[in-house]
Amino acid sequence: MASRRERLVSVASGIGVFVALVLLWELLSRIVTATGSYDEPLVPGWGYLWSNSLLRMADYWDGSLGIPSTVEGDPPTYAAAILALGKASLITFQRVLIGLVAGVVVGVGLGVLVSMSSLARRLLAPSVHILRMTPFLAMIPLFNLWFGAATIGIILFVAYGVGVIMFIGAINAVGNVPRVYFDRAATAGAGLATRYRLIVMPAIVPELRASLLLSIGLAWSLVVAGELLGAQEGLGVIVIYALQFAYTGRVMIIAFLFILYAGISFALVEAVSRWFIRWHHQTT
Amino acid sequence: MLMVETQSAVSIDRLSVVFERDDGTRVQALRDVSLDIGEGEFVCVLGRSGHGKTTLLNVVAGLIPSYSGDVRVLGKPVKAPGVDRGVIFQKDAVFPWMRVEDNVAFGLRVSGMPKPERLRVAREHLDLVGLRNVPRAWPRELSGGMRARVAVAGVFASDPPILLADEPFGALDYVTRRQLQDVLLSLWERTGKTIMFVTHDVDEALRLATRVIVVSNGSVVEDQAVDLPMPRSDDALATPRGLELRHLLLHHIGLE
Repeated sequence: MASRRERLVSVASGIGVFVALVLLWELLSRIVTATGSYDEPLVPGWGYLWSNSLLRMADYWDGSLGIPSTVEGDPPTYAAAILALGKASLITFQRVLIGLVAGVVVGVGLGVLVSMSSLARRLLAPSVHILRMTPFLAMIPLFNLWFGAATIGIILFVAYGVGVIMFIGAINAVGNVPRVYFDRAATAGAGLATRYRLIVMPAIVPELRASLLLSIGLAWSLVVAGELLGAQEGLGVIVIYALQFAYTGRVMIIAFLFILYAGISFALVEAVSRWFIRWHHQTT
Repeated sequence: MLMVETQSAVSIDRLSVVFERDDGTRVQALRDVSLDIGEGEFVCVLGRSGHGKTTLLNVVAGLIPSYSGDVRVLGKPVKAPGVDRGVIFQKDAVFPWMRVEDNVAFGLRVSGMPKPERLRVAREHLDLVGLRNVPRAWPRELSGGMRARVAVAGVFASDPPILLADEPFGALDYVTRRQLQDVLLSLWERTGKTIMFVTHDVDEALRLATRVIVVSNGSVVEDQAVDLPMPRSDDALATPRGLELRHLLLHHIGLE
């Protein structure tokens, strides 16, 4: 166990490195003054990000709630900028959440069902292997064709990616349940359904949790990818517009938001799901 | 002529088991084993590792469905596991996701006993194995010896007429093992269950059993009643008769 002093030093040096990186970026922005088209700096400094890129997010506000939109000629306000980001974030977050939940439910459900039958496992093994090897992004055009670039297509795409991870995770987790637990349940008179309810489901939770935490980062990546392909609203749409005008600063702000959201949702799920494995030997 | 026949708890007739290894070669784990265990007997199956003791126990437990010969428990042929046979496993089979009392009550839960009642029975049995104070603990919070007590409590709580134990105390230190042997003996004397107990330890067999079956190379090579009074102290085992039995068993498992 690290002493108090050691932990203090490690936290302090962590913050120190972060501050150094922030300052380094500022320094870089002063050295590299090149601009892209539309006079946007390629390496925008912090001042520019705050006073220009963030403020101009107001361009994506539709003027509702009595906060005027720049489209009608009003000057940009931070209120409109924050509202625009907030609304886009909500839309994107909703897609992540629904896709994640659907993917987890379907992936785990199918994985557990398949694991019940050794025949099903053997029949599906090659397909599962191919599925695991297929890059998710390669499937975007198909989802685009089948379901369109609107919300439903994006949600299904997220659900697909998460579902594959959870499906494979569930099959592996069931396979790793020690045989002696099944034997004990069987000798206590438990049938197949009882064995799955009382033994398999609780026993696979720690491994599923690891797959779930992996899925969260993936879900955010997939939603960006889905939105970039022509959604009508959401954070990815702001990126598309910003790219058209080479607004590096705005792209960076959205990227920061994605990092923030992915980090927060990861930490949240990690903390909440910890309760479900309180019986388990924990490494952290 | 009429003969009053006492019912066998376990009766095995010409049992053979053949396993196939992954490379296709075959191993004869048991060869022509015949054995009768009466109700209330405490039988230790003694032998070296890999000589078929666990296979014999697993067949009786119903965990090895493909065997040749006739194996009956309380008169019924064995095809699958059943609630008439409780098993204490060699590996730690206490469910880590269930609290101690839920582990002990597991069999009763499967059989459909309502929760308050089964928890009452579970606590009674935790008391009997000396674990009165930890009903709400998680298994990971217990020592190996305490988890072995949980396993013993669980199998007695379900109250099967026959108890099968596969080297249940093999992984424990000497003192803990001795304590658990005493716990098991007191529960056996209290309940009169039929016990089939697999061990590789001659002293353990002599301390526990009313009868010792020695298995070697998949066959029964010795069937010996242990006519020493219970409880068997170290002194009782050091009597001429105790030592004689010890030499006999050591000889049959391949020493002396």
